[in-house]
Amino acid sequence: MTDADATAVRPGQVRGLRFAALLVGLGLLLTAAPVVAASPRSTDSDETAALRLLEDAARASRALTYSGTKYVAAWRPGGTSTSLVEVRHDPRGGLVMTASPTAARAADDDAMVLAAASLDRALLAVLGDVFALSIAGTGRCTGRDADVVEARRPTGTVAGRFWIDRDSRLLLRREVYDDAGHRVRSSAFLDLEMTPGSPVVTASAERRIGRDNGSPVDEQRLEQLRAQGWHAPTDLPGGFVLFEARSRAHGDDDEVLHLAYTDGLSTTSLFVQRGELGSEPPEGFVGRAVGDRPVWVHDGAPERMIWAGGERVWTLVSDAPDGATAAALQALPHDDLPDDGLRARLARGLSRLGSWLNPFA
Amino acid sequence: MTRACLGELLTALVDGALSHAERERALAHLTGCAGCREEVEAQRALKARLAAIAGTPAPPDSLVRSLRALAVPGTDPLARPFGPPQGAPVRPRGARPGGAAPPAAGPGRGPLGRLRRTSTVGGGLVALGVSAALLLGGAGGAPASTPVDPGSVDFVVDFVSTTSEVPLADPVGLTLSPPR
Repeated sequence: MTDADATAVRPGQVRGLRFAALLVGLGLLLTAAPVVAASPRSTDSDETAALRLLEDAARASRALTYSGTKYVAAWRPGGTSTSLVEVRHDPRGGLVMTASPTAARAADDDAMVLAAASLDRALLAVLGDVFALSIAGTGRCTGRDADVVEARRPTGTVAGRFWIDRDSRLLLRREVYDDAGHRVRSSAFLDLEMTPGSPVVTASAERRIGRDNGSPVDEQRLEQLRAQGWHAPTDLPGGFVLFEARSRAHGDDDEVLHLAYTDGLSTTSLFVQRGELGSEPPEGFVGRAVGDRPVWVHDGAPERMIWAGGERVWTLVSDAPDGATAAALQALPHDDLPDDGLRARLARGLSRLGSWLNPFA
Repeated sequence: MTRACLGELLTALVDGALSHAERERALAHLTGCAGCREEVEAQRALKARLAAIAGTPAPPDSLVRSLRALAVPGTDPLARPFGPPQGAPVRPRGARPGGAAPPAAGPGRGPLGRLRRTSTVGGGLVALGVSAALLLGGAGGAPASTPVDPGSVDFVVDFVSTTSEVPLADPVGLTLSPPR
């Protein structure tokens, strides 16, 4: 056996290490010290201090050079999705995230590369508009002391918590809860290394996600689309506000409109296109009633839903808690799912027979 | 491969209802799928027969007379295509078995015979029509007529890209593994 053989990591070992890391991550998340309870009503000064802390964190996540491993989890009624994500960021190269990295995979293969973006203060302000913010206490994450900022709904229930590194101001951990207080999403650094001045995003990482995700739609164009029958609400129930609209052209006159909404904690994207829904759900989707709306659902994180309404076909992609997506469905046009029963088949067949017997009818 | 390969695209292809691009894709698939080729041929044959039925002109009187002349004297095969064989006893309405039939009510004639012929022909046509309608109605229903597959993963990629603009967002799009 050579030295290289001795130091090489076999795939089985990699899987074992990943599994152990997942267990450690889950354990850290579940056994973390409880946060000091905050008053449901935070004062203006509390709000200002909490919002300033979040601004610092958002700025640090864009200005610092760091790398590490994040544990990302989402809890849905259909099950739990978990992933280990290798994160590398530098201000010039942007953010590279590789899910479940393995020794056999090259560094930037299958990575999602997000271009360096400036902080959008308006989007951060949405968080403060929708939720009551406060500094809830202190905690620890990946061996670092952190300030904990809490976001509460108007009803007083906790909607989200942020662990912010006291030294670097980097966001170390984040959790989102549903109306009932159940944790629905969580992400946290398991290890983190700051390397100021040493770029960690290589030039080879050129495959930038979303580079071809259509062209921006401004407010004037959006009004035109609304006048043409496109339903594009400026907000959705639960404090979700429209923060971006894009359009992806197809063929001569087809397009898919992408409407993105956020409440500061979660994001919901609506993809709207002309057309009719087939009677069979796409692969991986199943029929289910969400609220009282029958839709095709793809469980996972993010969750996906498909339905038809207002002569358009809608695809919802969201990481929001179930209550928020159900409320969004209620606010959007909705038809029944296509019927593929005996009567529908007979009707289609008779229609085809009729058209064959008399093509001019 | 089964008909499910092309689904309703197949029937739309037979109907000539596909766009140029869809038609090209469907034809490309047919070159490699014997099952879909057979289904297309079967539907085209059925369509051709139905079109022929609808467009068949009435036979000229001379042909009818010639056919009548070929028949056995005293019989009229054109008048009773589904009638009972010659000489078979037909029990008229109200007559008992073994009883004498009225001379005027010959085999296959009279109200009962007409009713039976009508019922048989009508029932057969209805059954044929229902079967054909169910076959042509298909199990797949109408195809999704959208420029982009509404279940496309591209939408998730766009979602992740957009989510990254929200300050302090989770990289939740990377947990695309199915729930466990």
